[in-house]
Amino acid sequence: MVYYLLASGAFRRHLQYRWAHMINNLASVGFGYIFIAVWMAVEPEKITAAPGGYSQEMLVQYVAFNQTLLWVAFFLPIGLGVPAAIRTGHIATEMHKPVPYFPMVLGRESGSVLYHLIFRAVPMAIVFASTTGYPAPHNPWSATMGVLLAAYTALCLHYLMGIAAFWTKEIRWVWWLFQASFAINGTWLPLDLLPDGVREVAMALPFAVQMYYPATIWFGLRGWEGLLPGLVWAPILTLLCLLATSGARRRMEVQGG
Amino acid sequence: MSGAWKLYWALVAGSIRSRRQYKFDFLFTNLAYGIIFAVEFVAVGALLYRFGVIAGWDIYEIALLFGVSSIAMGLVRVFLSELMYFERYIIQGDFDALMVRPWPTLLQLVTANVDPGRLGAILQGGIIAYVGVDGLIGRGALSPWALLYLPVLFVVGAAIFAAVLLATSALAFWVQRVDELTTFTIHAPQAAGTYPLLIYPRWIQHLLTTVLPVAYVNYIPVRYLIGRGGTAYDLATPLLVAVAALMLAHSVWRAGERRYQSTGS
Repeated sequence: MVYYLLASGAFRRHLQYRWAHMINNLASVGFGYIFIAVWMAVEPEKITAAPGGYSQEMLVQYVAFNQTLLWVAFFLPIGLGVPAAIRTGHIATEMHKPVPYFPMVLGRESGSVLYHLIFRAVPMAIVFASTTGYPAPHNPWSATMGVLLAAYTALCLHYLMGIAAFWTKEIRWVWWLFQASFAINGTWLPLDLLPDGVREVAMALPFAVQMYYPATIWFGLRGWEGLLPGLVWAPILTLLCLLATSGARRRMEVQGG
Repeated sequence: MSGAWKLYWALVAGSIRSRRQYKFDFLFTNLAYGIIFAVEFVAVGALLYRFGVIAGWDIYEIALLFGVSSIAMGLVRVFLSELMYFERYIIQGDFDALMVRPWPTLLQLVTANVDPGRLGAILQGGIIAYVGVDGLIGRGALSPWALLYLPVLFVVGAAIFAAVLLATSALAFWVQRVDELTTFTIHAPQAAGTYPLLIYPRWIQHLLTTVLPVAYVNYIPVRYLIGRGGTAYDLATPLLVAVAALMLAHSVWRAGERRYQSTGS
């Protein structure tokens, strides 16, 4: 019940800015069109001949799908609101609530994820569907699981970035490094097309769980086995988040928060 | 006029000095910016590595486009970072504090937050541009004389981005919230400009050569330099576009400032 209240609170806070977000959605769609234009400028036969089993039409829809997925599994509130709480000092009261801190933040930000899904991903999907085409999932069940794992991975990674604010004053550069992952998480370039060596590394990183694996499952290029990397990373990231939280709590008590 | 210049450099030096206090931060910020932009090219580079060309342009040509755009944008980020998030000056009323001082508000804004930490972006853009130039000169597609022109282009390109940024920020005097707008007027066009213009539909090509003339930052002059079309005039038009755009943006800014004062905020 508590988690439902937290989530709906976050949801309703985002709701107030939905018109600004709608305009921003257009910009996001615009970026998608840029990558689509790039793929349209590559010769179709070369794409089909490359590893991974993609075609030019598929890649157009791959970009469209991932642009919407970005809002569910990449662009979340910076640090999940943790650095802001540290700056204002509210972190002290938040950490001493009867609800454990990490699950509390997760619960609250699930509201953000749900908001992004309804008010960002869906409208953008509609725009894509009526212009360049938007793919239907090959297997709705595994596709949904893929997206859920992507969202969970994103929540954990964002949480780790946010909790880092306990140790470093400037988390801006942590955020920029995270944005760098954009290039190797498969957002507009499927990881199969990376050179040997780079590909294996990229596919093993948790960033690939955010974009590449859910996309390939959605397109039917991978079946249920596509969920394995996500299922491996989930407990690892969760453990890291819990460890970071208790470390942060100790640090706060030492500083007399 | 020279008084204003001396003031400018004094303020810039002060801004840099205050940032140097945080040495660790300085190093890491530079590194982070360098990494984020370097990794951005990994995806494009991988695509070109595997498919060879985009609309006939190969990796060296695209690297040059990418590098020039990165450097120009990097210069803007170093010197004009305060303008990128200008809306808070209007919304939180900080602009009033600028207006009561005896110096032009723009001068204050462009010296408030000179951030050498963002040099990382310029450095990285330089590396990628170098890779492109090296490959192109190597196969004779680019004359070494172009190396004299490129630094000019970096500054002119930065001026064009700066003009668009200034005009966008000036809109804050009318509509207050403009930070989101920069995604449409700066970030998206810049991203689009790192690829050859011909991959886009005609109306986008028109847009990027008129209202948002970012095509003159890299595509138009580089296209001529590497022998893919255009005329020698294409080397001069970016300068004309930059001057015209800056003048236009500055008059929009002044109009906005007058309006701000007259509403008595």
